[in-house]
Amino acid sequence: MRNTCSLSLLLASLACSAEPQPLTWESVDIAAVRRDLETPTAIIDDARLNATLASLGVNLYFLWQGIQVIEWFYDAASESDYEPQMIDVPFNLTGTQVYLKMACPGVGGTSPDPEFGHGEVVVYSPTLTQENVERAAFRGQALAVFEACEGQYLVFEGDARMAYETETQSIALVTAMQFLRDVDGGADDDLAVVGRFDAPMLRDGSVVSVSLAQPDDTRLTLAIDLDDPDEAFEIYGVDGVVSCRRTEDGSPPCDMAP
Amino acid sequence: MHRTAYTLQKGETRLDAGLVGFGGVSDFLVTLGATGGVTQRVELGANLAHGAVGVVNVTGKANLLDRRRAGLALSTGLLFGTPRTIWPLPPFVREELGNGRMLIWPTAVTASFPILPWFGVHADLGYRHVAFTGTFTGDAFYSEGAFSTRDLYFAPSVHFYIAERVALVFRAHLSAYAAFYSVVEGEYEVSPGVRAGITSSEWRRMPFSRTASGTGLVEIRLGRTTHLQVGVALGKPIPALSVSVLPAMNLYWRIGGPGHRERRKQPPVP
Repeated sequence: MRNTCSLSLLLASLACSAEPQPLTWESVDIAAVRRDLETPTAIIDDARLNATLASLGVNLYFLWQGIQVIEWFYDAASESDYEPQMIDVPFNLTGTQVYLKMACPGVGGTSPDPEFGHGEVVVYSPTLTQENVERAAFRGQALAVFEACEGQYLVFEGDARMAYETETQSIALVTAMQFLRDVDGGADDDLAVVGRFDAPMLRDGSVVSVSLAQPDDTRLTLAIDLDDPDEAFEIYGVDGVVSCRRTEDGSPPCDMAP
Repeated sequence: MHRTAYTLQKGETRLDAGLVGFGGVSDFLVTLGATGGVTQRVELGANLAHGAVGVVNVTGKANLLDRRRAGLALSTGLLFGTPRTIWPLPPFVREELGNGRMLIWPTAVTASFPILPWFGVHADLGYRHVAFTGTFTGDAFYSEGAFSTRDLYFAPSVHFYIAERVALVFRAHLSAYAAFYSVVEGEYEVSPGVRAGITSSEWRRMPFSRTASGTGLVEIRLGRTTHLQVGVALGKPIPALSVSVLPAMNLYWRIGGPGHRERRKQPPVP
């Protein structure tokens, strides 16, 4: 609660303050994300591929965690028995949002911590305007905020803007994330930033694609088929594609020949 | 319903006994009021019926100008209650809703113009704030909210005095700005480690039709000190409620004070 003291709320609401503003964010254009992912601009050479895979070696866990969040959200959206015509909003709301808060598992954890002792991921809906409510069953926007979310190996902070379309079973994310790790072996509680992930992602059906920015402002596209039991993935460049496989040690071997 | 610019005189006391009320705060639902003139231009009052059940309801008015053809006053009040102190409520209600709060704060500047011996015009420029807060918790849910309405209004009234014992009062409550404000947060545990929630902060302008009301009142002086008021408010006398007709009855007595004897010959100014 913004103000946990009821009495002060009583008094604070006396003031003729400005209209409260809901949490807002720049919307994600699924078509634009898809277009970018389908047109990688980087050439796949050995050096660039090695650098990309080295980066993925650190960040791959986050990638799978992000996919898990997508899965949760996708399941919630697709399994909803929401009936648009049943919704009767008495007036157009301007400052009301709903959210889904998921606890992070923490180091060694494999399921959400019921006590929320290891941070959380909160997925916010946009403001429940009449228009947003009516179309929520088909398409919409959301914002996932990672608040000191402790995964098995890393701590995640930042947010991911999301858009979904149930008709095409598509979910797009644009992330602005950083991940942190205890780099001194647990001597203290200080965490160091060990990586960032500012990339658009798209799920079309069972395929998740990620755009990977290169130092020269070009982009590769990484694609994972969630139904693939071998957890293989592919990296697309402007000049071809290489196939890789996720490994336990986080250093995925690839077919280096584009 | 003493919405004029005039106050009781020093040492004068007004006792009220009423039901339902005219949409005001001091006379809300049940009235056992006691108002006293503490100085020549200041009066303070309390609704003892509310106080008896654990609700604070006090009023005050100060006369700022008292001329032959015009008067001006500033009035305010406070109604504050919490279920924890309202002893007639069942214990489980007091326990469950104990941290709730209700606050009503009216304030007004009132001008009076006694134009003719049998006719006067009065007008309030007022602000009324109503607020509720509360927290509700259960095994798997938590919610906290605050709701308030605010109403900046103009309320003119005309008073006709007939045969020195009867007054007819017609009053309109015209909102210049009225709004509803709510802040709500709540969470529900969907499964261990997963919670669904809502956060809401809404401002809504309330249309004129939801706040405007009119009041008609007949007041009869039954004796030297006893007055009977019977009336009805139409429209939306209580903006937060969908009540369109609000009848009211009130008996009051004015006793004591230096003007006690002279009032016998005066019209019953409400």
